[in-house]
Amino acid sequence: MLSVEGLSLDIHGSPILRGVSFGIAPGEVFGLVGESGSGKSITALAAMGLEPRGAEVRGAVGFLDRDLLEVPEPEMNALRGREIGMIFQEPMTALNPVQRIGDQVAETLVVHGAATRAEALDVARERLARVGLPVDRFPLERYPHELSGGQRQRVCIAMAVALRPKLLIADEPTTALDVTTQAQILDLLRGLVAEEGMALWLITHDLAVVADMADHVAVMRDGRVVEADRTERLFRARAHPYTAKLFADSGHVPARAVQVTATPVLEVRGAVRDYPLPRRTLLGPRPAFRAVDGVDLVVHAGESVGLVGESGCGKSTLTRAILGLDVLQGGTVRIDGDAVHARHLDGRVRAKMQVVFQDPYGSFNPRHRVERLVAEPFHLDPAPPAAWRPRVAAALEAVGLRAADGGKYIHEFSGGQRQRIAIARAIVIRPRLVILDEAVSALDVSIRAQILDLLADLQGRFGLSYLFISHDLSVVRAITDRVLVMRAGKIVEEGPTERVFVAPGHAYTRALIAATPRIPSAWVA
Amino acid sequence: MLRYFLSRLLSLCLSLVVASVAIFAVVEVIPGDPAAFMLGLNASPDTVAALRAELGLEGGKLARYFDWIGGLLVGDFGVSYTYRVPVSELVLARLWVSLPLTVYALILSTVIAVPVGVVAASRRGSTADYGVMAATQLGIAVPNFWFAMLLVLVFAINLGWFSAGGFPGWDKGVWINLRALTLPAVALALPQAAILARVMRSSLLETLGQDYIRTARAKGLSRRQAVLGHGLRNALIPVMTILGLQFSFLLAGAIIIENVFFLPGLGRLIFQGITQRDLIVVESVVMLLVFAVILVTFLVDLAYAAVDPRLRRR
Repeated sequence: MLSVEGLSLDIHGSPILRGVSFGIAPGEVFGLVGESGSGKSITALAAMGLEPRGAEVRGAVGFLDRDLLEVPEPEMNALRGREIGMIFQEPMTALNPVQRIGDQVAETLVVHGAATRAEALDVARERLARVGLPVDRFPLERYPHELSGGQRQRVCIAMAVALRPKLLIADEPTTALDVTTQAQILDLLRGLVAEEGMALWLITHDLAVVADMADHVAVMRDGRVVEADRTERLFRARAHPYTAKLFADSGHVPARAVQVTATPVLEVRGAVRDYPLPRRTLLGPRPAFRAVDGVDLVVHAGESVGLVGESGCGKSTLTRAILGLDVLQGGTVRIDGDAVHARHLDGRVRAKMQVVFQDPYGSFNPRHRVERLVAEPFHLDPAPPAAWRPRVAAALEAVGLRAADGGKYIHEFSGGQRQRIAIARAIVIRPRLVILDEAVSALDVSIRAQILDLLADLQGRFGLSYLFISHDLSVVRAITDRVLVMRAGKIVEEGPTERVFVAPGHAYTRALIAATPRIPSAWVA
Repeated sequence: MLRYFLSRLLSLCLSLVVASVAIFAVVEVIPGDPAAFMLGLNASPDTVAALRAELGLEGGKLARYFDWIGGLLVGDFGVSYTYRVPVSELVLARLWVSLPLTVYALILSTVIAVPVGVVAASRRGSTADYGVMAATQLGIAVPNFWFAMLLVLVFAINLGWFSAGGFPGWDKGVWINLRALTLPAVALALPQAAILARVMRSSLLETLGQDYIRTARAKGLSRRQAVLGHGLRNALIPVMTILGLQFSFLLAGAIIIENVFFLPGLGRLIFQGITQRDLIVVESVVMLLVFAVILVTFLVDLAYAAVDPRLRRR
């Protein structure tokens, strides 16, 4: 039904896509996988005629006996939304914030002249109910900010399938969502494909999602399709070395030499954090939202502890409290026996813990040289300034960079290198504890495998303790000794990582593990 | 929504109280004796004493403040020392010139700026965009009185379409007065429109880069439909902020234009009040302007909430 043939794309002369070819049959699920920058999304945008400015497209995109690259713009407008629907990665920003959800879904019909406004709202009501937003609980008058990320993605899907298109392009539709929400959205997409006879072009970096969903798969790298086949055959054979490497990296478990001692480094006891909510009445008391509800947590010297939970469960709030960035209403936090208070925190105490965040670019000042960025924690350390440079150089070398890289700026580095720099900054004053807050979540699988190896290596060399906070269960399983599962501010389960994963005790843990997409073990054997 | 409205209203009232105290303090308390200041260096002690009595300066500061505020609330602004007429009369007459002029200029500026900004943003990098950027740069750089003189030269002296200045008064009919206000309004509007068009352009450009514009295009909207249907409303908040500021500025800041066109506006009144040391006029007009600014800010806040549903919950 859709056949992409020799699709090439240059932006201002630099080649982005080089002869991409594949086909999608009616009613099938086609998976396009690859790492960031491989050209997956731009392929879809080019096929839709929505390539960015300055892009030059060659080749052919056959769809219903026409070449979409030749179709004039007004006809493309008539085709988009009617014959081909599309949803994107970021449901939080994909909807117009000042328009009601009913109107946004209805617009798809109105703009194609398929219905009057009143009829369109009826269809919107029905389609929203189909994607799991029944009108009695989610009236059409809702605005996007009144919905969660998963609910917004459902609205996007309702919008894209309102006119029952023949093809739905889903660009990383679940990457920004929690695992349980991801499972629901993937279920919904699967159901729509079966019901409507619609083809689905699923773009993702996640091999497990593709294994679960797709009939055919193509693997992209550097603007080329390196391998394409039926899903099971491709997964079993892994004929192309790049496919084989992607597989190995996605399941990578770093070799760790664990030397856990009985000395607690971090001790959290009965932590409570309330956030005041807006008053319901003008003068009434302010209700509170309990984000962290009596959490106990211990990390021993040399230990890696995982803290998993979905967004909004209180992980980040707890992290902020541990770092002394936020006050607790109850309970205590001790690092190496010293109490952590947000209002009066001694530099000497703070120097014992460092943090690495998810976004390696956003956590650096772009105007400072790497040397200065890595040296930032030294204001906590009474060491004389003369001692900084060799220690910064040593830290950079410890994370696999060169000492000379200290003279560069952060934009000169790739995402993986930036995360190495963030780790160098965290270890440069030899803290006892490093908090890794979704530290590998934004990285591609191959980079992630390298960073996990690096973390394992540094832990062995410097006797570090890690608190590994993540929503990604496979990563937590690969690098931690013990895991805590958090839900609605409480720890619902705690235990040795392997035990929790193999024999989860709490229903919520079981639901989390069940929702995590997995490549069938027979295929990988 | 009600919460938002009430909280804005509360903030309006508090701002008024703070502003009135500040104005009262600056004018009456700080420079020593206002009566002596108003009469100048050569006044005899008797005259000063008489003026003090007339101004109601005998008595405690707190009592005088409440006297003044109480008067303002019922429309009694006191009697101008130089004109010997109630200040409320003076202000009202001037307001009938300044307010229409301001509204006229703002409408012109909006009508020019919004389409120009939208065209420039939706054709970014085109000749039209560069043309708009150059023209608005010029509009910001050139002072409005120069525009005013140019307009008088072309449209009043050479073409004879408009009069070169003066204001007939509303009792002479609406059209003749609107015609008299046209050239000043254009002169005031052009620099404001240049600023507004740039704000519109950059705000819309930012909006057009948002994900929901891409979503709209994927739904089958044309570029134009996406810009007007989804971009414009989201881009309006910064534009409304600037509009609010421009209203406040134009209401009293039109003094040079008022002078060029011989218009009896508020700007001239306050200028005359200052040069003639008529503190009663100055104090009342400044308070009135402050009130206008705060009221406009309040209205702009309400407009924000009308445009953006996310603000209604705060």
